[in-house]
Amino acid sequence: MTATTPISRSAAADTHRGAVDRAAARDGVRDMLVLLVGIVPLGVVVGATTAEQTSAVAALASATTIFGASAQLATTGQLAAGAGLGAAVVTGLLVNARLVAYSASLARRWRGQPQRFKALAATTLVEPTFALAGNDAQTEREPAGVRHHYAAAAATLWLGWMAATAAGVAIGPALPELEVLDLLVPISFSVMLAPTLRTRAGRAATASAVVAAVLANVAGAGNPLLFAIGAGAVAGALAERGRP
Amino acid sequence: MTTWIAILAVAAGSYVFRFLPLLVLGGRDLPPFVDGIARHGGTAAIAALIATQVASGSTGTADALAAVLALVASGAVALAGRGLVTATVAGVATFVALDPLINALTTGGPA
Repeated sequence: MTATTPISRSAAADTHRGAVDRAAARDGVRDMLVLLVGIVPLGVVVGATTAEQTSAVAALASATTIFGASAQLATTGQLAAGAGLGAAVVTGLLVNARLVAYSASLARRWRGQPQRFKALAATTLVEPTFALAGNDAQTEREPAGVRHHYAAAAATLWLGWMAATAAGVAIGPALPELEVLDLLVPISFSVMLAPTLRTRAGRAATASAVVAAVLANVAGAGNPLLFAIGAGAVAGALAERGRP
Repeated sequence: MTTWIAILAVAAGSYVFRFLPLLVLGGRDLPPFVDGIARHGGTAAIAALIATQVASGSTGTADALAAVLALVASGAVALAGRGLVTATVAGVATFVALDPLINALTTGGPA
């Protein structure tokens, strides 16, 4: 992540109601562009996959409303696999349950920010924006600069994500029927999962979820996915509590 | 219609997850166990999705094994600090290289 310089006094003085902290906004755009390099390929995969599972319009709508690759794929994937509406919704929500932790963390940093900013910023809260908001906390920005940095970063992410998704929707039908292409989604997931394996709790959550999913499939359980998610979440939380 | 209801329901619920703590917590923290469930629920969900997708997408044990090895390769590259693109290429290359080999070894001929 690139270091950002504190804003100048004159810039701080200019951030009165309605004025834009241009330096903070530029930092937000620049910081997010760095992350977008890795996010765009995932967006293309997600766009192509969800368009195949649902429709082009549904793929684009879910990309902007759910605004999370794993939850979007989980929801549409469950529906495409024949799961009921309830199971698909619960699965998508469980995947996005981690957003509660991100929001709770930002609640401390954004104490004193206007409620309308929080309401709008919440629409784009996901790993990249959360990471940049956390990094930005190291700088000494005025409150308005914090808002403008986040807004610029979030807008950059949204534009990049939607463009990548649209590209995936457009090229998806042209992709050949290759077995390896079916692996792109699980491979993308494994890349997202990898950083969590650095902690004991992350490894416990992952191993428990995988074992539970396999056992539930073998046993013919009604909804192996929900059972596996519950088992993994509890295992991860317990592993964290068990640390001396 | 089911698809649209699901998308809107997940979108609405996800927004509640994103906004409610900002609205009500202020400077307070979630109870530790609840915080742990929330954080590790996402990890567990992604791991479970990988497991079920590999199981449902594979046409046999050989394909499943090749898929697992591909996932291990991509995860290892990601853990080593390489970007998403590099990790994805590593996983795809592993599958392309190993799938026919494993199929040949297990069936005694090309898949």
